[in-house]
Amino acid sequence: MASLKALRQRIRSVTNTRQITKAMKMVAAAKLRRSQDRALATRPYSKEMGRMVQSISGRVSKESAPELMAGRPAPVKKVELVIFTADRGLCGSFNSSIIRAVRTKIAELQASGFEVSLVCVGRKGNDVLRRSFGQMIHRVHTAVIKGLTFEKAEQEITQPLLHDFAMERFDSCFIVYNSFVSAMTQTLTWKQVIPVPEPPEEANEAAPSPPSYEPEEEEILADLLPRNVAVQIYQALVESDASENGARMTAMDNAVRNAGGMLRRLQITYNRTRQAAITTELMEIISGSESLKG
Amino acid sequence: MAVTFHFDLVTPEKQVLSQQEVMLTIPGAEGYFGVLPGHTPLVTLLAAGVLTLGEGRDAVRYAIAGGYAEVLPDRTTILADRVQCWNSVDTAAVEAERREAVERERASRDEEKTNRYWQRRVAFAQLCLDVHRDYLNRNS
Repeated sequence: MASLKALRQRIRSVTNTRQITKAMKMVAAAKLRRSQDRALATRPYSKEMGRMVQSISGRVSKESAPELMAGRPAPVKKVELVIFTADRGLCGSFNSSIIRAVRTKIAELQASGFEVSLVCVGRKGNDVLRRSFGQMIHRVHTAVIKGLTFEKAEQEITQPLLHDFAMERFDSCFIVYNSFVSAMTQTLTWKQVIPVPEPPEEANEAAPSPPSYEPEEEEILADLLPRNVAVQIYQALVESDASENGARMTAMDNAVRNAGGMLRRLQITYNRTRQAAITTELMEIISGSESLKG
Repeated sequence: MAVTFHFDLVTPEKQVLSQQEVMLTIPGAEGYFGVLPGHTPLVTLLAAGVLTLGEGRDAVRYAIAGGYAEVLPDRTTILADRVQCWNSVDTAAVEAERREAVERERASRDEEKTNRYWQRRVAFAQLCLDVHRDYLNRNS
């Protein structure tokens, strides 16, 4: 059995841990409110944008469509994955679920003969993936969330990505991130951003009379498609940020509760040990005085 | 025929408006155009300019820094890069922004892409100041 002193120390250290996790939970909760608002606020734009792209893409012939939309004519060989993780840990399975999914996907893609390259957004993803896939990582972006605006995301992440596409470093691009559902739940989301995925068949119940375009479809598309990629990247960033704070809050809440339970158990053990020590001591004294009397 | 139609104004950062509207004047890439209920379907690029909601004394104006508009008979959606309502312009901040943008624009003369970017910033800041002046004039 542990000594009283060791138990006291342990109780103190668990109390400290509980304090810290409680503080982290508060911070995450405060951040969550803001990042959740931001994530929800971007949804209308990206939804409308998606709808617009789909409705135009249904009307442009495959041959005249830009590569961003129709894809390259040759069979797709090189696939780029953009992975959104957190910069920091202590947020439950937030990072590990993404990394696990990415590993499976890479294995799958390689098995079917694709060349895979990676872009890591967030430090954690890079830290882990570097060990097994170091030579596949093209670029790493860290600390993007701080002071994030749409413009910043576009310049730092989207433009290099579009540049790489134009240089034919990859033919197809997927993004993977946690999208925000609630503070407790995040869902892992895969999205194909380049080229634009084919619209589902039934979705072609578009406007009865085709809209007119000003300027021409091609010109609008040339502007709209890069923008669409930027929007999806921005959306992934803010969703991932909100999810991260939610995940951290939940994880820290569990930690606080766990520390509380542990403290209770430790306290009981401590009291019992102390009582046992006192009883033993008393017994010794009593039996000592009894024997003197004898 | 309905007298109003649904109008959404959204930016990447938030949904600015979602309401019924009677009339819009939109800064299209090829000139301003008006939208009334039952307009023929149209998709267009937007230029930097002034978006007007309603007409006459009750009109409300927004400075817009480009984007897209989709017009359907019963609904219109504007996806704007940036917007600023004419009654909430922080003149000092915008003036400072404009000055900085002018400076940067001058400094980046030989770099076409960044130069164009700062030109757009200058134009937008100017627009904000203009609509704000209109707002003050109307109310004086």
